[in-house]
This record gives sequence, C-alpha cells and structure tokens, in this order.
Amino acid sequence: MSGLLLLFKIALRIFKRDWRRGDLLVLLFAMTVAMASISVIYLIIDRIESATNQEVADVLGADLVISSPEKIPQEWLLKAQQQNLNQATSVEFSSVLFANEKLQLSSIKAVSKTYPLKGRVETADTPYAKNQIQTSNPPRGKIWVEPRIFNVLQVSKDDSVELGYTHLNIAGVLMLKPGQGSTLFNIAPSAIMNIDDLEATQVIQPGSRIQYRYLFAGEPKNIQKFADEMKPLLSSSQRIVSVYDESPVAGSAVSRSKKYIGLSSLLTMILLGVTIALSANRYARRQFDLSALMRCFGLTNKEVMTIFGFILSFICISGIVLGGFFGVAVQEILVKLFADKLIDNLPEADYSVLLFPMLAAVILLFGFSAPALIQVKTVPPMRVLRRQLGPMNISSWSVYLLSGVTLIGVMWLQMGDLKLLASVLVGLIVVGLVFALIARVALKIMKSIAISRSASVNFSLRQLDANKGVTLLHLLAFSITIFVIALIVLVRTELLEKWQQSLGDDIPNHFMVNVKPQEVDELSTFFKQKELAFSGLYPMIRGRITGINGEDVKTAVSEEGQKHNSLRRELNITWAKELPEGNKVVEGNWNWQREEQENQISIEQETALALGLTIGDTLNFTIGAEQWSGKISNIRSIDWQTFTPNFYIIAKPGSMDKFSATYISSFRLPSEQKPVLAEIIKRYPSITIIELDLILKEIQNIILKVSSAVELIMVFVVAAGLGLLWAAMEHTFEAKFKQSAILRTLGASKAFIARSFRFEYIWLALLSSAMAIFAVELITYILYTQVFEIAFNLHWVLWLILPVATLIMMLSASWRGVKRVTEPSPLNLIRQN
Amino acid sequence: MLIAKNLNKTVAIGEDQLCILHDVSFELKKGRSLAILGESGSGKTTLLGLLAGLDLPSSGEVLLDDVALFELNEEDRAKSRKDNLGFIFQSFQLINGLSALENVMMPLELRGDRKARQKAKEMLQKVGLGERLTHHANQLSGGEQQRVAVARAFVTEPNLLLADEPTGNLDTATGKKIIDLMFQLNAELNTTLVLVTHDNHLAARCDESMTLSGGKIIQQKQHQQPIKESSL
Ligand SMILES: Nc1ncnc2c1ncn2[C@@H]1O[C@H](COP(=O)(O)OP(=O)(O)O)[C@@H](O)[C@H]1O
Ligand SMILES: [Mg+2]
Repeated sequence: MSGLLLLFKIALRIFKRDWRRGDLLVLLFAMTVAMASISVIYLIIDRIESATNQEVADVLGADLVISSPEKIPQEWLLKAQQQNLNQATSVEFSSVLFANEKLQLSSIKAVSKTYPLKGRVETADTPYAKNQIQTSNPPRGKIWVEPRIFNVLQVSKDDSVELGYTHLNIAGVLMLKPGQGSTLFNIAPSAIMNIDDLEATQVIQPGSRIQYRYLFAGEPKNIQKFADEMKPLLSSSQRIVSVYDESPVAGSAVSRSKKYIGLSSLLTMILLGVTIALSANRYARRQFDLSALMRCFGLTNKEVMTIFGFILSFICISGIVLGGFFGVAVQEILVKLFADKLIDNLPEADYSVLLFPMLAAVILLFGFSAPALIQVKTVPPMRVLRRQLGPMNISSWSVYLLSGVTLIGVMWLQMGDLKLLASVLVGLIVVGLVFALIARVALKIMKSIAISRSASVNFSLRQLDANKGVTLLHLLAFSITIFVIALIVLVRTELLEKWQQSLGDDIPNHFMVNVKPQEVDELSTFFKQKELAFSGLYPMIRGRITGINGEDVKTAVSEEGQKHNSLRRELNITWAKELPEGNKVVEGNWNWQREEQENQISIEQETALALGLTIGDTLNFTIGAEQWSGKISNIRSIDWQTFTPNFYIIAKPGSMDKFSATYISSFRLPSEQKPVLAEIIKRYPSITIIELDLILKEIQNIILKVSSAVELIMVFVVAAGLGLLWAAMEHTFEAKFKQSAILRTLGASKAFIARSFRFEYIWLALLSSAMAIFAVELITYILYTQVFEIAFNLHWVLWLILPVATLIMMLSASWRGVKRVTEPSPLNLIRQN
Repeated sequence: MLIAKNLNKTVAIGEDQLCILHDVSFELKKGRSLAILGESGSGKTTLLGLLAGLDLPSSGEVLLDDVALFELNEEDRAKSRKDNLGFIFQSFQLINGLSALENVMMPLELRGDRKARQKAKEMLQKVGLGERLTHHANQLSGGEQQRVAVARAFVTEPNLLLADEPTGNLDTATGKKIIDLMFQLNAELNTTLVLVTHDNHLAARCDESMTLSGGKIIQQKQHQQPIKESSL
C-alpha cells in the first residue's frame, strides 16, 4: 500500500517535471481537445435535440402520444401523474355529419379540456378568413369543422349540425390542428368537438372503430421515464406515436441528422484516437531513458507501468477539467455565432450529458496511449549501458484494436446505430489495408524515380523511403484527418441540399384529392389561368390489406408486423406505367410482365419487410365491398423526403379497371392566393383540398434546427481537424533536427536542406490527399447507399480541391518548422538533441 | 562476495550467431575493487550488464552474496538491484528536468526511505555539491553531473557498485577527482566496486584487474599494493 503511495509521489514528481519541460503539452492538448470536442458535440446535440423535440411536440400536439383502440387502464394515467405530466385525451372516430339534408363522412376528434398540450389549434369565422388561435377545446355543444364540411353541408358559423343523436353548433372553421401532416390521405375532413358531448352522440358502440389518443407533456426526463415504463405494458394494438407517423418528412430529417451527428462523433473520435496515439507515442519516446534508469534502480516493470499509469491519470483529470471547460465555452460561442439567430429560445444546456464525453475521453486516452506506454515498459534496462537499445518490438495492434472495440462498444450504446458504425468501420478497415499497400508501393516507386535533375527532390524522395515507418505513420495520420474533414463537409452539404430540395420554395403545399376523371382537364386550364404550378394526377383507390396468399393477415403476419402502419389503415393504391419520381426498385424488375394474366403489384420495401413479403407473394385486399388481389412483382424504396404523393402499393395499369378511381394531385399556392381555394371548392364541391402550408412551416422549422445542428458540428469538427493536423505537423519535425544537423556538418546548405524538407511535405501532401480521396469516395458510397439513402456520385471537385488545399496547408504549417530546424548552427542542433 | 561462473553471451545478427562473451569466470570479495580493461568492443559493457542482472546470459551464473541472479525471476532481480546495487554510467544518466537533490533522492525514495531528503543532502555535501542542490542537470558541468551520479550511486550504501567508463566523457583532471571520490566512498562504506575502464592508471588503483579481448579474459591480476592516491 505504502508502495503505491511511493509510486504516486514519484509519478507526481515526474508529472511536474514533464509539465515544466512541456513534454506533456501535446498529450494534454490532445486530451483536452478530445474532451472539448466530444463535449461540444454532446452539448449541441442535447440542446438542439430538445429544441427539435419541442417542434416535434407541436406537430404531435404533445411530447408523447399513446394510441390505443380502447381506453387505457387508469393506473397508466396515474403513473403519468406521478411523473408530473400534463395529460389530454382525444377520442377519434369516423362518423357522418348531417345538415341541410346533406351529409359528409368526417373524421371526428372529441377532445378534453387541455387539448392540445403542444402546438395549436387555429380557427376562423369563414373558410380561409383570418385565423385565430384557440387555447382550449371547443365549449360543450360546439364543434369546429374543416372548410370542406362548410361547403358540402352548406352551413356557416353558428349553424347546427347533427352528429349521432345530438346537435352541435358550429363554432368556427378548423384551419390548423396538430398532426395535420398525418391527414395527408385521410380523405374524410375533420372536426373537433368537446369530449363531454361524446356520450350524447351515442356513436360509440361496442365494435365501432375508435382510436383513443392519450397526450402527455412534461419534463423530457419524466417523459422518457414514463415512456420507458409504458413500453413493456403496451399491447400489440397500442403504441407510442412518433413524429414519423405524423410527418415522415420531418421524421426522416430528424433521423438523418441524428445519423449525421453520430457519424461526426464517430469520425471525431477516430481523429482524436489518432492524435492521442501520436502524441502519446512522442511522449513515451522521451521516457525511455527514465524507464530504463528506474528499472536499474530496482523497480519492476509493473511498478514502472504503475508510475506512468498515474501520470496518465493526472493528464486525464487535467484534460477532462480543461476540456470540459473549453467544451462548454466553445459550445456557447458556436451557438451564439451560428444558431441563436436561427433558433429562438434554444433550451439551456444540460450539463449532465457531459458524462458520456468524460467516459469516452478516458477510454480514448488510456486506450490509445496504452501501446506507447507498453513500449516504455518494455525498454530493456540495458539501455542505461547501451543508449541505442529501444523498446522491444511488441505488436501494438492488439491494444489499438482492443481500445477501438471498447470505444465502439460505448458509442454503440450511445448511438444505437449499428449500421452506421459498421459501415464506417468496415470502410475504414478496407481503406486502412489498401492505404498501407498503396503507400508502400508508392514509396518504392518514388524512390526509384528519384533520378530527377534536382538533388533536393532526389534526396527528399529517398528520405521518405528511408524512414518508412515514420512516413507511413504520418501518411496515415494526415490522410485520416483530411478524410474526416472532407467527409464531414461533404455529407453535410449533400444532406442540406437534399433537405433544401424537399422543402424548397417550389414544393407543393396543397394536395387535391377526390378529383373526378372528367374534371382533370378543366382543372388543368383553371390552374393555368391562375398561373399556379400543379403536379401530375395520380389515380387512387383505397383498400385495406386483408390477407397474404389467401391467409388472414391476423395469422399470416408476425405480432410485430401487425403494428405496421399498412395494416392499421386503408392504403392508397395507384397504378402506373412509369416508376414515380423518388421511387427506386430494390428487388425485382419494374417492367410489368405483359403476358401474365394475374394482377401485378409493386410494394414498398419497409412494408414488405414488416409483413414478411417477398416477390411472388399475393396480397389480398378489400376495396369498398369487393375483394381484390395482386401478385408482388417488385419491391420499391420510397424517398420520404419528397412531398409528392407516395404509394405503398402500385398496381400494373389495367389491373384495377373494375374500380372507379379518383385522382390526386398537388400544387403550390402562395399564402396571398389563399382565396383561390374557396373558388375551387365552390366550383368542384366534391374535391378535397388538404392544406399543408402551415404544417410545412413547422416541418421547415424542424429541419432548420437539425440542419443548424449539423452545421455547427461540421464547423467544429473541421476546426478541430485542422488544429490536429497542425499538431501532427509538429510531430514530423522531431526527426528533422538530427537530419538537418548531420546534413549541415556534411556541408549541405541551409537552402538545400529546407528545399528537400519542403519537397518531402509536398510528397506527403499529395500522397495523403490521394488516399483521403479514395477513402472519402469509398465511405460515402457505403454511407449514402446504406445509411442515408441518398444518391451517390463521384465527387470530382474533391479530386482537385483536396490535394491543393492539403498542399497549401502543409507548406504553410511547416514553413516555420522547416526554418526552425535549418536556421540554427549545426552545433546547436546537436545540443538540442 | 560477487562470483561470475562461466558467463557466455551469444547474440544473433541476422542468420549468424556472434559470441560476444566467452566463458568468463571470476570471484570478488566483499569490499574489494575490480577494474575491467579491454579495447572497445571487447565485451566489457556486456559483462557489466550481466553482473547487474540487467541482461540475461546465454549460459552461466552470477552469484551475489550467494544468491544466484539468473535463477530469480525478473521481479526478484529488480528487487535485488534495489537492495544491493549502485550504478555510475559513462553518460551520467541524470534525470533531466529534476534538480540534483531530486536526482539523488530518487533511488532512496524508491526504497521508501523516509529520510531521503536528509541523506541525499548529506551525500551531495560529501561530493562537494552542497551549494548546488536545486540546480538542474543541464545547469551543471559534466564533472558536476558525474559527481551527482556518484552521490546517487552511493547514497543507498549499495553492496556492489558498477561503473561503466565513469570518466570516459570527462577531461583527465575532472576524471581523477571523480575516481578519488569513488575510492573514498568505497573505503568508507565497504562497497564492492567493479569498474570498467581502459585507463591503466585507474586500473592500478584497484585491488584486482582483468583484461577482456574478444569476449575472453586474457589477463587477471591481483595488485599487491594498489596505488592509494591519485598522482595528480
Ligand atoms: N545486442 C547486441 N547485438 C549485437 N551485437 C552486440 C550487442 N551488444 C553488444 N554487441 C557487440 O558485442 C561486442 C561487445 O560489446 P560491448 O560489450 O559494448 O563492448 P565494450 O563495452 O567492451 O566496448 C561489440 O562488438 C558489440 O558490437
Ligand atoms: Mg562499453
């Protein structure tokens, strides 16, 4: 025990010495940067995620929604109360509204007093007039109805409509409500009434199709706790509603940005691992004498290890404190500079999220400096007598591998995205192997072409080959850093572009459904007159999946699959000759088989997966009162980022002729042209218009937030990467002192030495940027096709920019260093060594 | 008592086996001094490394006070070094960045000696550096550095002191002073001394001497009357 205290004291002394001498600076710097970077990333994620959650809550109308076909047990609500959650209930069902001897099938929400908990309901006095925000549910006896109902029933405000056994007074036009996004294909117009009037209507009978939605809001922590408590209790027909259900576009933006952030932190960690390994290596090299001497004094190598373990712990602690401090500060600055303008009332940072950065930084430091420390331990004590004896050549790969695996384990726990991790890692391993090979070959070739007229060029090429080990190390470090920077910038740019496209100024913000075939031409001219852009028309038929290969879905599909959207509601089925935009065939062939008599369909990928379907299976549908079935001939993926009509099922043209279809279209309507809607509805009373402009704005807000997170993190990773690159350059000067001294004593001129060193950096820059480009192309290919699902193209611009930028960067970063090693007299250089 | 028995050391250089120490045996009684002479490359340093248990022989044994060094495991050999050995090297090997005092304290501290500071100060005074306690290694001249090294070697009162060309990097006058110091402390503390040198004058001051050539002992001498004082 006292032995340990002894070692601790000695460690402290060496630590102080190394601190004074600046030996620890690089390692401490690396550790501080590690802690700071991971902290920045986690703090930013946390803050923007809670901002996004607020926005998502507006879309959902709550922080958490549980949907259930029957009432949920009272205890569940008590549990919510225990977590201090606010609660609202909405009972949703389809029923018919009557007035003026007309009727309209409507989707009715009977809501409790506190509805909605988040987001807002807006009503107006007449359709498309000025909106006002509602802060509570409609009073008893009142109902808000959508513009379309006004039209069909020919009613106005304060008129009475009949619902079941009661009469309700129209209190206003329902213009906006939370969850509008999900109504995209809910053909029935909706209405909101007071939950207390529900009983009087007597529409809810045993067996009627109702959805109870329980809304909860509260502190994120409590919401999380409650969700965790609920998850195991939910039956197969109950579920927690996510933003995906309400708005696939916002949902996928959120999830992609999460992946991006996951990718950034993964890459940052790789970068930091490399830097820590590099600086630990440099530190360890300077401890060989000390280690041998202490062994000579009679310390066992275990004890020497303990001493350096202590030193590492000191570095670790100081790094965490310093890095944590910088991380918090930098994060504040970044947010102030870039995000504050975009996001109002960004939530305060929650510093408890720093726990993970601490853990990761500790693993990074110990894991990636362990190999260097082991080297120190294996320095033979004979070194005291023979200076040239170095550490035993133990293979440090296993240690790096082990620490890498640990780190990945931790990251996986944190991100839960195995696919992303695996893609990057597999890619990097391939790249690493190819790197090593290419570098070796390249060095060989370079050496053999070292016959140019310039002696300094020849010399630099030979030098690179002579110090193969160091050259490879530097190549690896540089190319990984460049690769990380390039990848982060690239993926961000392409993600943002994608989002911009899907939410640009020209995307449709209104949908039109129930268009009769004979109205199509008239409508086209109408839109042309109004100078409104209007997309193609898709036929649409609604049907429910009832069986697979003749077997009832209830038994044919796994319990998990039963929960899938496609079984919970009627699906929109279309037919098409051409593959619609944003769709991609992932299995089978789009071309409909001409000769086959059977009905053929194409199904969306996720649905096929959830229901366990493959090509050749037959799906049975109920359409209206009729049965219909189609054989799956191909499987498609859909880009949910686009706001065009997307269909789970597309049939071969002609196979659905016996059903009468209506058409669906989308168009863009600037807000000042809103009155056009009233005009359309007057002319074509049966057409349903779905307004998405307000919800789109909310989604745009979400995307704005996630993209500013992406932007912030990119700025940070790039800055950290450049800093580390700079630091790695320092590493390369170490050997140059001696080289320069020897050359000078041999009579080489300063200019010659400087030139040949600079040539070395040029070769390094060219080689490492070439390797980085290779890595970027390979890994973006894997990422885009496997993780982000965006189209991949070679990035030719990079092929030019990267080498040039690297060259400029390296030459300028090394300018001072090269001077430093060539300016002083040879004698000084020898002394310094 | 230090006994070397049939020490052999072969190293592999590529495919070839090179014998750098060949059947070296000798005995040295407690408190006596031995000079190892020989040309550069004759195997002196190799032998010293084996005597210290820093390196392993291909065959043979070293007995220090009846303990067979190479029967011990690595850890126990380290412990034996801690308890018995002192070193002085050609290249001083002070710990850079630590003061003279801290350097001398280091081996005492490693033994858990509570009076480390006190003892180290006394020893530094003995070697004439009482005024330079807080100076760092790089603020001292070569001779002073080596005196710190001598103080560091003797401060633990080792049974056996090994020195590899301790004056090799110093001018003659300074070297002599260091040697005087070593012999003085050797007499005071009754330390057994093994000294590698190629200086015949220095060797003559030892109780015994031994000459190596090509890894073999070619001459062993007992000096009837070692020269007690430096001729300078
Ligand atoms: N680890 C080793 N590998 C190969 N040769 C060695 C090694 N150690 C020592 N030698 C060789 O053994 C010989 C004796 O070396 P050394 O003991 O250092 O001689 P001295 O100290 O007498 O100058 C030299 O020729 C040296 O090159
Ligand atoms: Mg020697």
